[in-house]
Amino acid sequence: MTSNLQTPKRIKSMLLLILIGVIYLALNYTSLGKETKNTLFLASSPLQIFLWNQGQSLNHFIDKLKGIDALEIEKSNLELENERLKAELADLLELRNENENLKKALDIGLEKEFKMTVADIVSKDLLQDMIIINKGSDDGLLVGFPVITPQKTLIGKIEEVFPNFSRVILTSNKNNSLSAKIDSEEEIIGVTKGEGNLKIIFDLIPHEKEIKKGSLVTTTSLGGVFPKGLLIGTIDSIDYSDVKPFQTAQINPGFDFKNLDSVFVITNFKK
Amino acid sequence: MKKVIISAIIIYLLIIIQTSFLAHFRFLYYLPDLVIVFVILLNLLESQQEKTGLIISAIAGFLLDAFLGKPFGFYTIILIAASLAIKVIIKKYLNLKLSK
Repeated sequence: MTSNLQTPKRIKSMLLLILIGVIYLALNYTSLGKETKNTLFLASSPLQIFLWNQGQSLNHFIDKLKGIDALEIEKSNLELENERLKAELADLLELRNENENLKKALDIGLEKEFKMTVADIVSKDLLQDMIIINKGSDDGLLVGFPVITPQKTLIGKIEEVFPNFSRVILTSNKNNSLSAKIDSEEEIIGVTKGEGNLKIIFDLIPHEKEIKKGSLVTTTSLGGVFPKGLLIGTIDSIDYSDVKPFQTAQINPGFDFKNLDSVFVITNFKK
Repeated sequence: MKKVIISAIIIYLLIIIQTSFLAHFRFLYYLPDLVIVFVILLNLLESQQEKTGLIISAIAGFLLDAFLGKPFGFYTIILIAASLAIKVIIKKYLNLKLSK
């Protein structure tokens, strides 16, 4: 008797489970999933952008409170650096004039190199190094487009696009690796690999190459994924071991979410 | 039903706060996923006969799947499995009487 009563209940539960399974499969394998995510992002984005800005302001305030003691030392260091940079600036101005003249002669310019779209950061993924930006396929964005800061520092590339939003995989994401180089006296080419938690390593550097702490790591045009010359970060520490076939270095990412609320997406560049 | 709706709103807000507000603070980088903590606590504190913990786990899983970069079903299965595991462990081994 009880088993007779339980049977319809069991069938109902089984049917419910199958229905849920079908819904989830439809969400994953049809455009329904993207539309659901897009609708949720769209509904939440005003609150998310507001919270992103508030978090940024509060973080700035906390940093200021923390840094009052260190400000004096930093000030004197900055004064020294300022003097050094002024001297460097004079050299650079001369080089710029020379560069402009050459560009005019060759008829090339940055605006011709790539087109860009501005987007706001909406949120950051909890477990992975990914961010959501408020521009998507409706704005002409496609998977693989590079994302940079206003200072031309590489943040990552678009991994998934929704109609109004895109998911950006950061250079520090574990699934992200790209060809990079150090511009010192001799060019050092290697590969940067994300390690998660906003950490990047510079790998596959031959033993005979000498890397200096603080050197700038930039992208190369190898693979045609990113335009060359975008800053990835600076060398933080070097891991040299005779046992390993290559030496590696830890990179300090050039971007910082503390000062970042909008980014540029390169929508077209000459590969 | 009221409990499910209120919990769903709390879960939604927790996801948004953690991804947009708390994401700025480096010292909170290793902060566990607040939604998972919330769902586990909810399941621990509800009575053994109640099923709302399971429903809330499914809703939390769905929302996490929607907001984070994993395929649909990833967090839903994890949270439902965790919820079931909590219920089985409490029923078989602990027999806690935290709530009425």
